[in-house]
Amino acid sequence: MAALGYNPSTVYMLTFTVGAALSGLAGGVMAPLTGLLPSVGGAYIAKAFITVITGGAAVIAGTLSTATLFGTVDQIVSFASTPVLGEIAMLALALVLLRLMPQGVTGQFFRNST
Amino acid sequence: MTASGFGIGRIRWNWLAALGVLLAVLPLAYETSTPTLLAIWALFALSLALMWGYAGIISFGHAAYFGLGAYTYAIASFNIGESTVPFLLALAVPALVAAVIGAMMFYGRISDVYLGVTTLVVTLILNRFMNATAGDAYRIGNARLGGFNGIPAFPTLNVPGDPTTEVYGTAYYYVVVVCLIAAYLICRWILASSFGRALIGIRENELRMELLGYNVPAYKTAIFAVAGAMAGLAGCLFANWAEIVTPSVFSLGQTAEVLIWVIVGGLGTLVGPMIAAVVLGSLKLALGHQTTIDNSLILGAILILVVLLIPRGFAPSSVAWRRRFAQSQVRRRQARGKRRRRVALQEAEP
Repeated sequence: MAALGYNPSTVYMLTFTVGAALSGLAGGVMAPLTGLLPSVGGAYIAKAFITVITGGAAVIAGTLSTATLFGTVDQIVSFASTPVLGEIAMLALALVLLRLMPQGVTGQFFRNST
Repeated sequence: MTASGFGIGRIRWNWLAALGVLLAVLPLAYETSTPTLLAIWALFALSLALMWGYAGIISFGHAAYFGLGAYTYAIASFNIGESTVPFLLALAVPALVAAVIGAMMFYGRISDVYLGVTTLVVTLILNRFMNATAGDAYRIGNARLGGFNGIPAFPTLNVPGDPTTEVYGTAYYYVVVVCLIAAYLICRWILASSFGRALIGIRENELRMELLGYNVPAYKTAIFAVAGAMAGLAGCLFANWAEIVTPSVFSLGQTAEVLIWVIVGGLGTLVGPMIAAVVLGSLKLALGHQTTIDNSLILGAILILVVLLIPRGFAPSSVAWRRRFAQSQVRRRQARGKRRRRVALQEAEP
């Protein structure tokens, strides 16, 4: 890409900035729903990471599908039993999905989406 | 290195002997509790360094095996009493779990960042589960899992065959140091064997090794299990040091810490991560004693500086520095020789 006249560093920097801005927005929207602590972000790092990676290469379609799936499973199992089991069920689902689709969900489905 | 696949390769025995003597006389001059903990951390860092640095398997959940070792020891020692079998179980159980998870991942062709996430998920599951095991319902034999509070007051390590003689203090320090050095030598032996060379081949080019006829998933699963056993050993030693096991051994912090040690120490070396574990570990302990500034702030700053200034890690960079220094010395000597010759020539020509 550098040979085509793009500056990779600038692109990376901009992407990182936009990503940070979006996560800031997510935090802002979440703040009224949960308590505020200096370490509040820590609880979501792993979940966000798992969701994105399980989603696969197509960022929007992948993240959207896995986020919906994980959220639904987490809430249903939490409602049926305990929140801990809900989270464990969600993580186990992520494990199964990754085993079945080593390239993430969009490595298998929605191949031509973004 | 020996070509036959036996032997343990080129080891600086004089360095190792000097270090051994230093570690042996350390208890005369210093208390042993902190050095014991640092040696345990070094062993933990070593296990990840072997797996990540040489086989190229990245794990964001190496704490899983550390914690499994700790929990296995605690639960088994409650049920068995005498500590020899629990000690061996604390090696075997993490190795077995690692082998199962590894086989699942590597035969399923999971690689790169997907591998990282899978290992992370396993750690998180264990962490969440162990946090939720409060109450009498969750017990294995005589051991109550204890949820967030963990398992306290289990029988600690004793002299094999004699449950009444417990190993603690200076004696325990020597046990840990011997474990660390033995683990290091085993790592070197693995890397010098044909198995270790195949691993390095896999790290460099997996497809090529596959086409050469190596069973790549089997190799990766095997090294994953070995690293799991080593992390389990570190966990077991840690449990005996702390005399309590809590779910925090499975925490993300624990996982992040060992990754940081390996990165700072230098990927692809064994000594670097161990040094980094000791240095950063003692820094963390020292910063924990003061209250003027938050210690994670300082550690974070140090890590950012390290990544920016020595991106390849401490050990490889120090080798490069030494080489550059030696070259500059040679160049200076050559320049001096040239100058002297020129002066001699001028003096010879009247």
